[in-house]
Amino acid sequence: MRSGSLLSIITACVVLAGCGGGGGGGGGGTPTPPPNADGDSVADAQDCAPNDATKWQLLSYQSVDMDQDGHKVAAAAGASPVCSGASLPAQYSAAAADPNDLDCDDTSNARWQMLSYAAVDADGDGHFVTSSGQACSGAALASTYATVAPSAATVDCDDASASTWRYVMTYADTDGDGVGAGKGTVSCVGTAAPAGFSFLGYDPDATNASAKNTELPSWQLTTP
Amino acid sequence: MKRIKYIAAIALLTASAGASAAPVDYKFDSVSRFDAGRDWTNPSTQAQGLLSVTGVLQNATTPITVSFRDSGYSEGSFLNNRCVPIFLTMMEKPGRYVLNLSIDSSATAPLLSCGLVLKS
Repeated sequence: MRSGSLLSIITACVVLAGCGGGGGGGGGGTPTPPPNADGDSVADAQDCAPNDATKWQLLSYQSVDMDQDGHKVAAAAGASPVCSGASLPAQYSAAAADPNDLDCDDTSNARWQMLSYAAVDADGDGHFVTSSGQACSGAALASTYATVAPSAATVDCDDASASTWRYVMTYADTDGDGVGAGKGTVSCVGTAAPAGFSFLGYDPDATNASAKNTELPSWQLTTP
Repeated sequence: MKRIKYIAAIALLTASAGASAAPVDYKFDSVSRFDAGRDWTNPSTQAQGLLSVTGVLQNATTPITVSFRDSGYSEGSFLNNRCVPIFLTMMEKPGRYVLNLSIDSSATAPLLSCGLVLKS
């Protein structure tokens, strides 16, 4: 008689399908919903972001615009689908990138197109050397590029140094009085002559610092 | 017919006389040599004077020589004569000035202008 009662209880449990869940199932017969930590209506087991209610499904894409500048690049071959909400995140697109508008630098929204240049100012001193090519740019070339090659009279003699950009005749200033003498040497300089040299070359006595034949400064010689 | 040929010849001569190369502007950073003399190398022009200036142009590294004739016409000689002191000043005060020359080698008086600019 006792064994018959036990069988009845087991059968009832199977029918109600609630006994295995422990005490959590209550006694009302309602099935326990699967875990859903973010409450986004997709169970954690199927949710690609179980803790983010804004994402729950994997969507494929063909192009990306990581810097959000409106110019895309093609997705990498075999790229994994991205965890999304109702639609792809803004950086991803299901459409293919426009081959005529591919972003040349998808890490910076300041650059997206290749522009041609004819001169480069690598040291940023405002003086260019002739060099042609294309640079990844924004709406216009960066200031270190130009579309017109410099003339021979303005080309930078040292584009690796911002302090030198022009060839000028310099004269040895052996007595250090600021005026040199002799035949002269062409040097790549900026605003100042190299140590031991001067831009002026008419020292009447190259061994006497007190004799230098210095002219009046230019502002005194120039008529206003 | 003869008259047409004559007009055509005149037109051709006029066009030739009017054709001249564009002037070339030179900016010398320094001048190391100035010469004046006759062009003995060319029998057809040896009666004319030949002047030349040798120096280094701005932002250049090697000297060049610029030559121009003095045909003896008053206007050309006048300017050449005025320019000689400028060339000498340029040599006497190295580094003080930039020498500007404008030369049209196809013109009867090739030297169009000369001048000094004080370096700042």
